[in-house]
Amino acid sequence: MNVLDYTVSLVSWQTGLSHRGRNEVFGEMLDTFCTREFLDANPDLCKEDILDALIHREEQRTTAVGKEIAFPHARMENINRPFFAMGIVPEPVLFDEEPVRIVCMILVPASDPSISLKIMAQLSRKLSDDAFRETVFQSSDPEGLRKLFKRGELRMDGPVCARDIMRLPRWSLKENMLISECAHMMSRDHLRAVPVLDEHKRIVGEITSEHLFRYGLPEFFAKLKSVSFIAEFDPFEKYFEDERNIPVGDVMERNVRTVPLDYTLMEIVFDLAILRFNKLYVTNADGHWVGTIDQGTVLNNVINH
Amino acid sequence: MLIPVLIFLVVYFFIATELIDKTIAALIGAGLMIGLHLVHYEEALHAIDLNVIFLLIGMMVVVNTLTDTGVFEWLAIRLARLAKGNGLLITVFFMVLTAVLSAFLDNVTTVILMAPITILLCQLLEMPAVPVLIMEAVFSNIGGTATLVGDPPNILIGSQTHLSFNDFLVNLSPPVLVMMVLLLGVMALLFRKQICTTEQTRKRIAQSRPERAILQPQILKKALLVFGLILAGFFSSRALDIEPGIVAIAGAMLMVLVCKKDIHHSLVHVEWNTILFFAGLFMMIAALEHNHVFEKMGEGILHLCGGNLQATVLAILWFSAIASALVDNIPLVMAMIPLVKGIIPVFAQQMGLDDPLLVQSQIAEPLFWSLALGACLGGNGTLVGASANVVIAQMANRNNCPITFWSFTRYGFPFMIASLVIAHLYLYVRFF
Repeated sequence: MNVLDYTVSLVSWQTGLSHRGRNEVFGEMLDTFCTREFLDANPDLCKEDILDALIHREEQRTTAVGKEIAFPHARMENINRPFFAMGIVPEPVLFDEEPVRIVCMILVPASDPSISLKIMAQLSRKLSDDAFRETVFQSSDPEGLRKLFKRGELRMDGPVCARDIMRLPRWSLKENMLISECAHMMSRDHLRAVPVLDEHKRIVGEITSEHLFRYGLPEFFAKLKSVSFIAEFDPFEKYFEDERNIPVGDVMERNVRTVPLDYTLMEIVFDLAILRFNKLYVTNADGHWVGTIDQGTVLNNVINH
Repeated sequence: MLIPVLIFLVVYFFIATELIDKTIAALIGAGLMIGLHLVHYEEALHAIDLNVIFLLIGMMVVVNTLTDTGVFEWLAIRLARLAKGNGLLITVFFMVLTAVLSAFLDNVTTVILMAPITILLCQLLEMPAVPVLIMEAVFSNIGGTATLVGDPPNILIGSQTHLSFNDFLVNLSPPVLVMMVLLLGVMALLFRKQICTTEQTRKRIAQSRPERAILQPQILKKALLVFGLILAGFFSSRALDIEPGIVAIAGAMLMVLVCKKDIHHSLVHVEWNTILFFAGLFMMIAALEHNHVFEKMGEGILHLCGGNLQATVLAILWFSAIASALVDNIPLVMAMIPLVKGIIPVFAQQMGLDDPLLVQSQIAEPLFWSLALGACLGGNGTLVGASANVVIAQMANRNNCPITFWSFTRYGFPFMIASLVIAHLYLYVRFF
C-alpha cells in the first residue's frame, strides 16, 4: 500500500491556509476536502462530525510531533475507506503551545485504525529531512505540493518503528548542573524524567522525579514501614537543603535504555511494559539523542488510533 | 588430610576478607571437597543440618510477617513515650528492647528493624545517633547469646548437641542478665552527656501517635498468637521431642496461612544466600570430619591444656571470642562443634565417668556453653566481628552517622572484655 492511495485528487493537497486557530484550520481544510463526491460516497458523514472528532482527539493529547508538523486524525464509524489530506499554513498555528505549519489530516474507518499509524510513519520519515521540509513549507500551489511526494518513497509495507512514533528531543540536563537547577526545571515544566547528555549530545544517564525524592531523603526512611506515628516533625527542608548543590552526574541513573531508530513497535512495547523502563531514548547511528518514547507516546500513537 | 584443611583455610580466608561473597566461597569450597572425593556426596548431603536450615527459614518468614504489621515501630515509639522523651532513658529502653528482640530473632534482623526507627527518633530528639547505634549492635550480640534461636552459633550448637531451648535459657540467660545490668550502667555513665534532650524535643515524643504505627492490626493479632505458639513449641520442644527447626518452619507456615499472606511473597524475603552459605559450610565441615581433622585438632588442644577440663573450657571461651571478634563466627562454631564433641569422651575416660547424664552435665555442657558465650560475645570485639555490627555501620554511614572500624571498636572491645570476664566468672562458679 501507499500513502498516495488515500488522497483525493488535488483537494488532499492544500497550500496557503489562511486561518490562525487550530480548529479553524481544520474547518478550512474540511471545507475543501469534503467535496460532493466525498459526501456522496459517505452519505452518513458530515463535515461537522469529522471536525468534532478531530477536535475531540486533539483535546486528549496534541497530535503535534515537533518540527512544525502535526498529524490530526479521527476514527470514523461511517467512513468507507481511509483518507489523507495535507495542509500548509504560512504562519505557524499553535497546537497546545506547539507551533505547526504542516497539518497532515488522517481519517480512518473505526474497523481499520492501524492504517493511520502507517500513514504517519511514512510521512514523518519523509518529513524528517530538513531540506525537504523546507521545500514543503515553500509550496505555493496544490499541484506543486503533490509532486513533492513521489509514490515510490511512501510505501507502507515495513513495520512501525521507533522513528515513526518518537517525540523529538526537548528537555535535557548536563552532568555538571546542580540538582537544585534540575529540580526547578522539572517542577516548572512538569517533567517526570529528563535525560542527561554529555558534551557530544550522547545520553549518559537519566534523572527522574522519584530519583530526586529518594536522593533528598535519608536512606533510613525507606526502611520504615510508616511514619504516621510522628505528629510534629518536618525535617525535609533540611534534608533537601543538604543535597541541593550536588551535581546531576552524581545522582543520575546510568542504566538508561537507548534504542536505535528502527527499533520495532513490539520491542518498544516489551521494553516499556515488561522491562518497565520509564522512557526509551532513541539514538541515531552516531549515538546522538534524536527522540524519546514513553508509555504515553505509545498509548497516544497506537492505542488511541 | 592436608588438602581438605587447605581448602577450608582458603575458603575461610575469602569469607573473613570478603574478597568473594561468603555464600559463593562456601559453595565452591563444598564443590571442591566433593569433586576431589574428599567426602562422599551422600555423606556431605547428610551433613546439611535441616534443623538449622528450617529454623533459619522459619524465623525469617515469621520476622517478615511481623515486620509488615508495623509492630516494631509501635514498640519503639511506645518505649520512647514511656521514657517521656528522656534521651538516656530512651537509650536504656532501646537497648533492653534490642536485647530481648535479638534473643528471639536473628541479630542482623533485630538491628535492621531497630536502626531506622532509632535514627528517626534521634533526629526527632536532636541527639547523636552514633553512640545509640553502636550500643544497639553491642546489645543485640549480648541479647542473642541468651537463647537457642538468638544467634547462629547457638542455633548450630543446639542443633548438633542434646541441648534444648530451655537448657540454653536456663544456662545462658543468667550471665546475660548480669552483663545487661552492668553494661547498661556503664553505657549510661559513658553517654549521659551526649544523649540528653531538651523540653522542646521531648514535646515531639509526647505528641506522637503510636497507634498509627500499627498498619495491619488484624494480621498482627493473628501473627502474635502464632508467634506465642512457636515460642511455646520452643519451650516444650524437649518434652514433645520435636526439633526447634520443625517448630519454626511449621509455625511460620501456620502464620502465613492464618494471616493470609502470599507464600511466594513470604519466601522471596527469605535470605537464601544465608541458607546456602550454611549448606556449603556443613558440607565442608563434613569433609574435614571425614578426614579426621577434628580428632587431630582435639588431641592438640588437650595437649595444650594439659588435659585439664577447666583450662580447656576457659581456653575455648577466650579463643572463640577473640577469633569471633576478627572473623565470621559461623564457620568457626561449625568447625569447633565436632572438635568439642571429639574431646568429650577423652575427658570422660580421664575422669572415669560412664553415666551419659553425668558426662553431659559435667563435661559437655561447660564446653559448649563456653563455646556459645565466646562465639556470641566475641562478635562485639571489632566492627567486623558480627554481621549485626557491619549492617548497623552500613546503615549509619548511609544516613550521615559515620561509624568507623575504630569508633565501633573503641566501645565494642571493652564491652566484649567486660562481658567475657563475667562469662569467665560464671563458668568458673557454675561448673568448677
